[in-house]
Amino acid sequence: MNPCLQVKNISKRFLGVKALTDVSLDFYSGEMHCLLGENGAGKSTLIKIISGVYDATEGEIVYNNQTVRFQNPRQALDAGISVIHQELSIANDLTVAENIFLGAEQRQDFKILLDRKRMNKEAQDILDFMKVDIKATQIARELTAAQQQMVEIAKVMTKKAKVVIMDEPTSSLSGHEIKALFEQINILKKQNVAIIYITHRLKEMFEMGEKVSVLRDGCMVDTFQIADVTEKELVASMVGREIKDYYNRQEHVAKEELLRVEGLTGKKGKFKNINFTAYAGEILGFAGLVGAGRTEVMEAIFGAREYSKGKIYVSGKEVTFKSPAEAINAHIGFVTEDRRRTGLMLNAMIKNNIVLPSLTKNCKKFGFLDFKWEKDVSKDYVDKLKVRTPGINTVIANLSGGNQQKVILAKWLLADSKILILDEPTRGIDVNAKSEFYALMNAFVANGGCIIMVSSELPEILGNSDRIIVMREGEIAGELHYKEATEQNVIELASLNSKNT
Amino acid sequence: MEKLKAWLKKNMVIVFLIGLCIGFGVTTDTFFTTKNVMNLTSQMAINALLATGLTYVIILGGIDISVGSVAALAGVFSAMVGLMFPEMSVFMSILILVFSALFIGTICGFFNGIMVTKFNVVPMITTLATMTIARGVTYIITGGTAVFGLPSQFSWLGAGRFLTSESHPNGIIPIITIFTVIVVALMHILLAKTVFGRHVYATGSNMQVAHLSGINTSKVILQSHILCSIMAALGGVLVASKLQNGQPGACEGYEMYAIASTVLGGTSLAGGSGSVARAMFGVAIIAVINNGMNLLTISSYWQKVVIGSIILLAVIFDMSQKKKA
Repeated sequence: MNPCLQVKNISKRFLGVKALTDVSLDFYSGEMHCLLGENGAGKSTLIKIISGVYDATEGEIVYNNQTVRFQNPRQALDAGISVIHQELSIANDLTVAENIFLGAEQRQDFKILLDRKRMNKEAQDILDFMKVDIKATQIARELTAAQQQMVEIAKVMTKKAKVVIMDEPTSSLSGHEIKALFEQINILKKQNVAIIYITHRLKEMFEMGEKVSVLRDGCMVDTFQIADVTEKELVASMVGREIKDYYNRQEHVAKEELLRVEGLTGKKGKFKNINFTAYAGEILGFAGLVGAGRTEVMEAIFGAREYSKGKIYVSGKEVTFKSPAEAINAHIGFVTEDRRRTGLMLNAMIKNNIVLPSLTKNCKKFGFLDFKWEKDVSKDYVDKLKVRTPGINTVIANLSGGNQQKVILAKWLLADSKILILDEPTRGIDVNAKSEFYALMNAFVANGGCIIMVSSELPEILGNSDRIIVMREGEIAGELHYKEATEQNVIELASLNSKNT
Repeated sequence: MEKLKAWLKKNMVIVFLIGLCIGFGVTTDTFFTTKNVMNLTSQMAINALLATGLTYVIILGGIDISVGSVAALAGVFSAMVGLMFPEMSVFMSILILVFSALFIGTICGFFNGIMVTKFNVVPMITTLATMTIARGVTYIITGGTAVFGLPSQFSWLGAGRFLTSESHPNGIIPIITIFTVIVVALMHILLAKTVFGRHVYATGSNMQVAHLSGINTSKVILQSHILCSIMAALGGVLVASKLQNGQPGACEGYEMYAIASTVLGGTSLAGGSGSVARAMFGVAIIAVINNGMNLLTISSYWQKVVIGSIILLAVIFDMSQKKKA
């Protein structure tokens, strides 16, 4: 049998950074082919190239025995390649039928008015065929996340797709909803559709998949028949890398307790019963899969998210922060995971960003700004942290990601933070900037600060943390000292469900 | 040369204003007379106050279209209070006017601010409601007729002039101009030189970042709305003082001129940037166009067409500059 879709020697570079290197893969009709790899391994880039979002720098895609080059997602869709994204693309205020036929509306005879009746009927036929309890005339907003996913699949079915790509489709589904999804996948398989499935959950692969390919650092590692491989082997092939020396591990000496969290439980079950202690002079790593609840825990500690139960102690004193302002007063700083959205005033100057949390404490009489102080401290920090910029008046949007991140760090250092929460601190910045950032982190803890680092990049966690807390589905799955931590045992804690394996 | 070009691009509105003045100066004999220039400044005063307050709200990424109605309400309120003191002194009249402005402005601004911050009603709708309600209240408390019978002292602030001489028996410098310059200058300093002002910019630039940097963004938004309404109310009491009576239909449509001036002055409706001083250039452009076209005896209907077109051109120019950058 010929493969339905072939990826041949694909490479992709973004501004000189290699995201994919010489990846070749064959996908067959009627098979579920899983893609496995850490965050940043290149899975998303690969599916974006297949579905026409990106153009490959090198290599070709062969589809139905023809070389194709999709200019945009629409062309790929018309050719029969559908993608179901992690974030569903459902129009909340339209009906189920309208969503299913979005962009391919059926019209009445004169091609002007919509043929609602026909669309409702055809949509209902598909939903009935799928054996799901959804009415075509329901408004999409009323559906649960799982039902909306079913609508996405119905959409794919009407398009008669030959290839369906699913990007972590189960991340927001519960147990029996996942089961319902799997039934649909089996139907798709029977209709000879090739399914490309991205997930972090090994269990699902073993239950549903035929093949699995492992990607690491943008390269293909290997492709296995699922029947012939064990979980341990898969984890080993995902890892298989020596930790690079740019981490330059330093021995830290943990001193007094700075932060203690007891039984912290969030609203809506985002996180449950979180207990940990962080000490001055150490880097405490928080590992786990995306969506494990780590960011939510940090936001709760910082006063930016309400929690339903639990206690937080800073330097031994119990605190209940109602707002980030109170957390900042208690010398906590928070470098958020999305610097463009929640970290920076992009159109403001570097100096304005650096001084923002510290203005109130450093103003002159009657609340007047101290412009000289602003200039001096900004210059000072730009020099100290070696931010590469023409000057402190440069608009921050014009800096590279690494330098932007340094400015955010400067902002919290100036605010006199003792506890620094870093959420994905080096996401999207290059290796050089990373190692500079790690050096700054080490200097901070050497001066008696405490860093809590949330990161989904294992080498980063393993290379920097003194202790590692692993979270899984809102709970702490385990804690490891860095000497006993390996990529293998961290991944196992983060992704294996001990109850089911 | 490059620097000059950059300066010109950034300050196009100033160049445009100077061009307008020269144009009207050449085409009329009366534009540059002392009398006309002084009239011009007093005509600008009301819009200047409204635009000043609006600058705060627009920098926050919001809008306030209730300023015209709030001004009218404050105007008739001050006139009604004034009627209770037929023997008032000039000093007393100033107290009445300022108190009325603070009172009405605080109530309306607090209402707007609470709706926006606590009930998450978008500013456009909140202030649309306030615009209608305030206008309605104005008609209710006046019974739909003007409030008149005020003593002449009442009009000192709005219509009085300093420096009487033989050639100028009524005085040269309008008191309303001096008053407005002082208030606008204070508001400019508050925005540009204080921590509060910086918090306004930060909140408008990125509310989440501001919140996560320890700024009480709700408070900043509430305070800005109160300031905006107080400025509008000040404008309104000055109109009442100038006319020496309270008109329930006063200041209709003033919100549009104020918004236009602010935008002409380069304040972005997307929030995060702008300044009171620059809004004043916008105020001046609109006043000069009105005044100059009056002198040229062009119909006021045409003035509306011209002003509308200039606003559009200014925004298009602004967008094209941003795209290049």
